[in-house]
Amino acid sequence: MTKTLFFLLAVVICMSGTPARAGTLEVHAPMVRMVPPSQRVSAAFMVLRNHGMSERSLVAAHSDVADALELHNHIMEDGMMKMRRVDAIAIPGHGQVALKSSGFHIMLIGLTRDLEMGEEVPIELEFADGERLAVDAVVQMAGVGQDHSDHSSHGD
Amino acid sequence: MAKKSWHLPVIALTAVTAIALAAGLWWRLHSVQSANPYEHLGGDFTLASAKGPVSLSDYQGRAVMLFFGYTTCPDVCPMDLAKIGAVISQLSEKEAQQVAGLFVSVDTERDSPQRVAEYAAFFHPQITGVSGSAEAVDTVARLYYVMHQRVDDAGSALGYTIDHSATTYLIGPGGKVRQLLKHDTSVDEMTEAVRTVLAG
Repeated sequence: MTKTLFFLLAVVICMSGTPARAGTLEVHAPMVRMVPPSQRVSAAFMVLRNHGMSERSLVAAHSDVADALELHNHIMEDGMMKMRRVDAIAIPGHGQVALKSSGFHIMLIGLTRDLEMGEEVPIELEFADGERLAVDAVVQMAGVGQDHSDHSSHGD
Repeated sequence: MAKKSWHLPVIALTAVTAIALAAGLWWRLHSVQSANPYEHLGGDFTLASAKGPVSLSDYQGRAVMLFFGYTTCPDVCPMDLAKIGAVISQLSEKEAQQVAGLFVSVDTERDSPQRVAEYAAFFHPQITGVSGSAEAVDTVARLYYVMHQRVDDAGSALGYTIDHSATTYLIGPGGKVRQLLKHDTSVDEMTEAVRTVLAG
């Protein structure tokens, strides 16, 4: 178990070594959650960094892996987990936003094929100013405390 | 002589009363100490699995991690089920035999027993997925004070999502809720809790 996790971690680190970058935007450690074969929805997570001065807005995502990609947010309210669709995810100037477990994420609805562990799913991110950024998100099992999405949530 | 025969019953009665009082006090103190704060929560139930009806009482003698969610849930449910699976994997073989996971779907419209079964087993073969009619699931949800609410979103390809409690109920071998494991509880903390419950 531990070995597998270390291996997965190593894979993630290798793959996230060269962040996708376009202009002032950078994407770190993009991943797609592995789901059971019968499951037709999944979610993508990543860290978006904005090296520019002005705020940028992620407004859509595109991929042929699913019929529809939507931006969603999770809100934990009084012990209730609520998932809501959002129109945009803002990344402040010189700031970053983590699309992570129990927070913002990209929903992949109506998967067009079964996901495989470790495969790279191409996703195109669309920003409010029309800029598009292509990323390859690695398919991973739901982290149980080891993935980056959890580490970044510790500081919340 | 007459004096003595009058004394004996009084002494006996006093002694019996004192013993009864002491026993009552001990029992009261003891029961307060061992009171289960979740006494009002839970109870036995029967729902449908892919292999026929499953009752909580089928797991008598084992610790059960019970979680309510739905299979279209992309994040919270997979996280919690993965953690339940990791806890079972982390236990020794002997301990693991005394533990089970139970996943109740609150999405009675989309989740058939078959679908819930496949979904749950993906995270660990010892996690059983169950579902049922809206009424049946609602009854169980009320037993465990689980909130679940359908939220329509016509603009989403999902059509609707379900707000739901994200707590794992740790049920002891006697069928009683022993601990509530919140969504942010770590695998190690959960494993520790399971071991405590198994120890009695």
